[in-house]
Amino acid sequence: MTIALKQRISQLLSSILFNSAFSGFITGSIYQGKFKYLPCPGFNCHSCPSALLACPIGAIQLFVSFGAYHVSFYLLGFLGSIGAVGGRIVCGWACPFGLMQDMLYRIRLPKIKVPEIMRKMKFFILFFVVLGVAYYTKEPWFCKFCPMGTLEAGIPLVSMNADLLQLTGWLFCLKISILAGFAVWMTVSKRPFCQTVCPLGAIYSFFNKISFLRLKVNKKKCIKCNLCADVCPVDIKIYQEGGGSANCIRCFRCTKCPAEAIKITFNTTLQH
Amino acid sequence: MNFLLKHLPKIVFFTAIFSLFIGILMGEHEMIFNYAVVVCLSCIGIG
Repeated sequence: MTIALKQRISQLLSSILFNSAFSGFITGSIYQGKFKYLPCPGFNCHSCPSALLACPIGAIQLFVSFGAYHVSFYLLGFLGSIGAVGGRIVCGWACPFGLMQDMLYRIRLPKIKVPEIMRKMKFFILFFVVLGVAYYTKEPWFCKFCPMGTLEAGIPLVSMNADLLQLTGWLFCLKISILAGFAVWMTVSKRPFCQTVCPLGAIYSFFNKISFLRLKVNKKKCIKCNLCADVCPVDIKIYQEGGGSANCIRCFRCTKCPAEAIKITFNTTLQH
Repeated sequence: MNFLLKHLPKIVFFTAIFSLFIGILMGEHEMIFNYAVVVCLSCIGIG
């Protein structure tokens, strides 16, 4: 079984697992059981009728706005422990929105690359929108524009509840437009949301250089055939950016290097 | 300093685990639960 197939199966199983309270789609309400004590490791809206876990970005905004000390040790510990082991591995192997983006990119259309400068935008969104604006306004502003919320919560809940439908207005239309815009972008660019916007990916990316699970690039062996860049779901040249690149989502597809220059390592220490 | 740098991955990991338990002791998981069992109107696009 190829790494790409294993990754796809893992993405699919994770997406089903994170959204396995299927009865919500019959009742038109959301799951309210004990699994909601846990944040979701991937990008998944908890207002989705079938969502089993809490949205970590929504929860961060909640603590920044109303927490006693504006920081959540629970969330820091949860996301930090995952990041410390695998860096952005959740982005590559378990994120439902990542799976959707990978699938839409398979549509045969002319392709364009995400500009390099836009990749830094996710850090601006994390610090300015998710932390800064939420702190000052006490409102979850990222959620108001989140395309995943529209897809998983907005569309199903509004279509199943006539009362909610009557409350929709300009914000709902704006959210639908944002989702549609991203959906179109996803067909022509590799994972545009992960590369430019995702604040959860930005958090995990801080751990990429120091996580136990890392990619080791042997530049002496590299023949610059560009095969790693071709198969990369986020369009990075790992032989230039290095195994600790903040943009790497740890899908490990590049380890199928013909020169065997890229290896997966698991090390609890940093080597110099 | 070199020792700290060398063992940074382990330090970060155990700090994260420690932080997770502190958060549970402070009851932060209850706050997340109470937040996540209510429909987020901002996510839907009506609030």
